[in-house]
Amino acid sequence: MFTRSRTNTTRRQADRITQPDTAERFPGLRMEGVTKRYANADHDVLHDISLDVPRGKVLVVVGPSGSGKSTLLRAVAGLEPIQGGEILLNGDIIGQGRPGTKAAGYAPRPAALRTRIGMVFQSYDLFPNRNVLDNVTMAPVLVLKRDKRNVEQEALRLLERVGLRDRADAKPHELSGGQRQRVAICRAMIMHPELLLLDEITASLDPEMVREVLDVVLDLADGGQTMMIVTHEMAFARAVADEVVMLENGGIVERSDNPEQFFTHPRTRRAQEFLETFEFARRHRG
Amino acid sequence: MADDVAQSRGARVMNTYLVFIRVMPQLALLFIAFYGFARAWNWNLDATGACVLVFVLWGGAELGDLVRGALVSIPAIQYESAYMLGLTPWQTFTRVILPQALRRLLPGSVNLSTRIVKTTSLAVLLGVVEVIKVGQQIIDAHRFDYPQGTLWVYGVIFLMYFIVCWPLSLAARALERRWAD
Ligand SMILES: Nc1ncnc2c1ncn2[C@@H]1O[C@H](COP(=O)(O)OP(=O)(O)O)[C@@H](O)[C@H]1O
Ligand SMILES: [Mg+2]
Repeated sequence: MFTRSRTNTTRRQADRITQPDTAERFPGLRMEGVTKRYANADHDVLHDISLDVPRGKVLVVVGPSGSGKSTLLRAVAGLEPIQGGEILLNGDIIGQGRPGTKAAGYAPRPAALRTRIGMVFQSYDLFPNRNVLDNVTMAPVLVLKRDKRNVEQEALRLLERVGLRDRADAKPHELSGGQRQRVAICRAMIMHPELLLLDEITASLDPEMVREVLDVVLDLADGGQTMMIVTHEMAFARAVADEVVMLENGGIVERSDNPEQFFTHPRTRRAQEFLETFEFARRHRG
Repeated sequence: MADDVAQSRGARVMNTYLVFIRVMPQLALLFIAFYGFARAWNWNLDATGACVLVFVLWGGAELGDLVRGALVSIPAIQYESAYMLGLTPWQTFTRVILPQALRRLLPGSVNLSTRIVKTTSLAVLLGVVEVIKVGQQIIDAHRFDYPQGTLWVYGVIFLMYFIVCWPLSLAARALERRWAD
């Protein structure tokens, strides 16, 4: 089973939050009334979503397919402009929408804000024309203008941490799916993102590779990395989550800061029904 | 994105050009350029000029379409990953998209170049003195002293085409191996 050393988490968090926080500068991610409608759509994909991911915490987003989980993460990432509401990261407005905001293309967000959020997708993230090390070092060198030697050393340490230091020279196509996702995590983490977004990063993996990727994520959670995770791995969700929200039809059906309770005794009927779809039972025996 | 492109006027013009050039047989294009232009606008292109014009327009259209195909075949996630990492659109294009697109472009563009080289043999029908024409002249001049010459002359022409096209496919294969992914 998946486990997390929570004591560790709280200690690391205490280290990180040093400056006093005023009410306006909420530490972490704050979404206020976020509404998203795709171009040419006749209804909102996300409707008036408000939620917080406090710094150092992990929010797991669950919900049936098509409920808007990916759109939610993409809106936070700036990959989808929003048509209403506000998104704040550690007190800075990173996204704002009004009715009539253009619905297609990326949100107009400067690189300095984009690099504060990391994202790993379901697949095909890595740049196939570059080897593992170059994939990880490209953005810090090109965008943050950091010293290349320095970045390479940090990249190798990160790869070491996910057990892939010896594959630094490999091309992405020479890696297994699980290894590729671990590299993608390193590529995001080397930017020291204030928030890491993971959208079903194990959904296209063979079952035996899921574990190696999720263990890395648990490790990040223990290190106090603020994350928003969409996953269908319920055992993992239960282990990694500090908070859970369930989406359906673009709205929040249930939210809980007690994952244990959410996954065993959800309050709403919809959440019960949803969680039951992950359980198997034989109705007839013998 | 596709919509924006389709709506722009330049894109519509280019699209019409592309469709027109690609549906026409090359021979018809050559005749239009050689006889048609002269008739219609009294614009007298010589045969070689007409050939150059047609092969530039045709090759450009076909290659443009290959480039377009290679670019749209790059998954959106590649652009999105680059955006999230803070790359500028120019960095995204030159460091991420173009290297991948070039790789995908390679087999098709080599195929196209050999097709263009081979199609230039149609120029003989406009009276351009190119290899086949010269070959025929040689055959005609020596019809009586070397009756076996025909086979040899066409054999040499075959070799000349081969010498132009073969290195192209060799280079392509070598590059493909080196860029393999
Ligand atoms: N680019 C798009 N344009 C229009 N509709 C979209 C687009 N992407 C997703 N949708 C729609 O938005 C809804 C939510 O999709 P998504 O966020 O991918 O859900 P989930 O990740 O929970 O499966 C779905 O009904 C989907 O069809
Ligand atoms: Mg999704």
